[in-house]
Amino acid sequence: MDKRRYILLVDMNAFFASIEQRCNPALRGKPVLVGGSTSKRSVVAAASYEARPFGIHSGMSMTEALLLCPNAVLVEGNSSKYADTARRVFQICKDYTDQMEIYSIDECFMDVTNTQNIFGGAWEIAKAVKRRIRTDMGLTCSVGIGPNKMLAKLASGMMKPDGLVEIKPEEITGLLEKMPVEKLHGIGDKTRIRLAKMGITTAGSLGRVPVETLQRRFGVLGDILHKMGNGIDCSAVVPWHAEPDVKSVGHSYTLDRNTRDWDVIHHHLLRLSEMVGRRLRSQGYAGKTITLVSRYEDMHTFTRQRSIAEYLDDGYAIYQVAASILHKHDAGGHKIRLVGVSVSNLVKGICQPELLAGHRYRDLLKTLDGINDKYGEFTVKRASLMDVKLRPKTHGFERKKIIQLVTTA
Amino acid sequence: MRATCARKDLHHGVQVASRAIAGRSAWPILNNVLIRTEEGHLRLTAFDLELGIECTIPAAIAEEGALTVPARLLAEVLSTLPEADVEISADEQSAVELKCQKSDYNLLGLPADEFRQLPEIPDDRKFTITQGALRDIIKQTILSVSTDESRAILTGVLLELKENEIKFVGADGYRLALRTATVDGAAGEASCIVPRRALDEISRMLDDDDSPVVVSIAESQIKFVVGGIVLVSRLIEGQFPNYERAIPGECERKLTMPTDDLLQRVRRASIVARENANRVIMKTEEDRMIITAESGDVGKAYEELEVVKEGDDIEIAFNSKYLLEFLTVVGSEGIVMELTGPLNSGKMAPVGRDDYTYVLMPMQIV
Repeated sequence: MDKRRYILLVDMNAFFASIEQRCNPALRGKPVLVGGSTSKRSVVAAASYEARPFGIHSGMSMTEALLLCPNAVLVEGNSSKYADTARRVFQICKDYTDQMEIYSIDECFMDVTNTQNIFGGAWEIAKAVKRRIRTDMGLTCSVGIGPNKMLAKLASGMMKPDGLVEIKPEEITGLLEKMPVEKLHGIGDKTRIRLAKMGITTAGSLGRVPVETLQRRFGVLGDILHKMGNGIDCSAVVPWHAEPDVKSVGHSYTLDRNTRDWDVIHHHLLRLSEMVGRRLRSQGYAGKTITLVSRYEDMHTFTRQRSIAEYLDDGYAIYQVAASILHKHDAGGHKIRLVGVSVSNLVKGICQPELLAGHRYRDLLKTLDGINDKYGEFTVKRASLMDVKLRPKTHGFERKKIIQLVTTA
Repeated sequence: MRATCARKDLHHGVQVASRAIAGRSAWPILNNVLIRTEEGHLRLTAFDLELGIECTIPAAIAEEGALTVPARLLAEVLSTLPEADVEISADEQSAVELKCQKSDYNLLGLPADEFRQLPEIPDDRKFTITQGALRDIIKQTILSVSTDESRAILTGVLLELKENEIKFVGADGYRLALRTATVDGAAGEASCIVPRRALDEISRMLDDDDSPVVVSIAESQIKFVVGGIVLVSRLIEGQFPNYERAIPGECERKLTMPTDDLLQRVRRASIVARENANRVIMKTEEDRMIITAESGDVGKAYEELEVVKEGDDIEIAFNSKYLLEFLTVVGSEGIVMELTGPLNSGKMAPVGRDDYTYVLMPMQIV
């Protein structure tokens, strides 16, 4: 019997930047930098392939990146858009195996050992996944195929973007011989330097060091390093359905600047609550314990929860409880840096509609969810969440500006 | 000030008045009880600015005056003193002395003129009702009052007075209880929201008899006078939601059933429903109603009872807790349920009476 394992790693290329380029044709072919916000306080979450020759990589500060490439276009990240796209990518992968592990928002492992025969082999599966992601979503990915997770990951990094590389068992020794150790997933800068001091710079030479020597130097890690050097990785692909049940749903957000402006704080609290409500409803959950987190400019973090009579899944109702907790416990004085809302104590498939609002409010939520599922998060939203930035309580001639903004928006 | 009274009377008086002290206030005078001399009496007052209670006890007055002393402390000392006369007195420096046989306690008080007096409530908007009737009305409406601080307006009962009729409405967003009654000695018209706490406290003082309670309503306070006790509470400010909109009109589907039989069955089924947000499903089949509950972690419940049915069959889900609370206080042998549909609110009432209505929103099966 063929005991050989077939593991795929699907790695989306410049994921966030590619999504932005796909959504906005004006960004295509240009160096695009996606950050938490378009302010220079932010860091690069993703850089498009056009920006990479300038030496820009994710994690770099926006200020630094703009020095390297002054013409780069800054785009504010939209995590719900990325999560939604990722969900659809993972859905495609699930069509070829039930052993699919979500490794990060833009990477997943697929163990196709038991299904590759049905689809004509691992290579054919990889081609099909790549084709569907390109035609359905207009995105490219690099796929690595290997006999274990480590080698699949290594293979996926060998050709970018839009690559497809397979490492076969008989190729392992030759391939690792000249492979720099830092290319192996899990070996960072610190380990690389310590290995270099021992005269080890390639995976091949790492594999030849006796395991005892490595254990003496690195403790428990020594065993893993020895296996890595020999291309061995026995870890299993942990499928999504083996993951534990949802215990709570929450979101938090660091404000653009520290503030005591309650309009701004409430705006974000409502936005986060609506996001929590959406996620609860999409999974059929409702919860009766609401937790509020507020972090102040002195980094002091306040967390308080309240359990209420009924299970909630409506963002506005969640917001009302969260806002009430914040106002009851906010001592005043310090500016707020971060707010967060989460809902726990969950039940599935249960909903107690409000008496005064009636079941028509539930129908409305359902319709809005349908629209936002189809056209993206916050396509339809509360007017108070509109991004039009107006000066509050404007009178007289300023009204003209408001009307202009509203009519051109 | 100097007065002598029975330990039992003073202890009881302090206990009654100190119900108006909710917790430990940062303002020390609010934790104190005010004791004033009157002819042949001591008047005891406690007031935490939300709720105030005043009562009198018989006493022999030796020297007129007033004192204040921490209510909890005084009650605790009194509770352990022997059953005899106690002498309570205060000097110019507000030091309070409590003597009883061979016990002598000096407690630190605060000047009586620092104490906030209860507001005066005019008598131009008032009504009189028997203690027993008021007790039932509160019991039958307070169950629907919200405990959710984020919905302050719903944390009290709406009280409406018009001509000779009063209306009490409790609503927490998921259900509503409406009670009406005719009253005597009514004057003026009023509409106000009475905090749950005031109603809880007044309920404790009410006996199940025909002696009168006088209720007076001012712009921002309400006053209840029961026997020798006066209770004054702040009202909740704001506009109560339009509850009438939530009461369904006449409906063709009517189910009549014995209250106690339903209560027992729902209570039993709710043991299983507990793990599943208290959801029980009611389904009619000819002249039977089948009640089921199910929870993945616990199991299933099945109950059946006879009902008199008008209209088509129906299947509807309710929160068993909300049903049980109504069935426990409805106080009639039978109830009528009017159910428009599985998504519409259901109306429940005692058989043969039109002064009590309970409206409950069903749960949806998602």
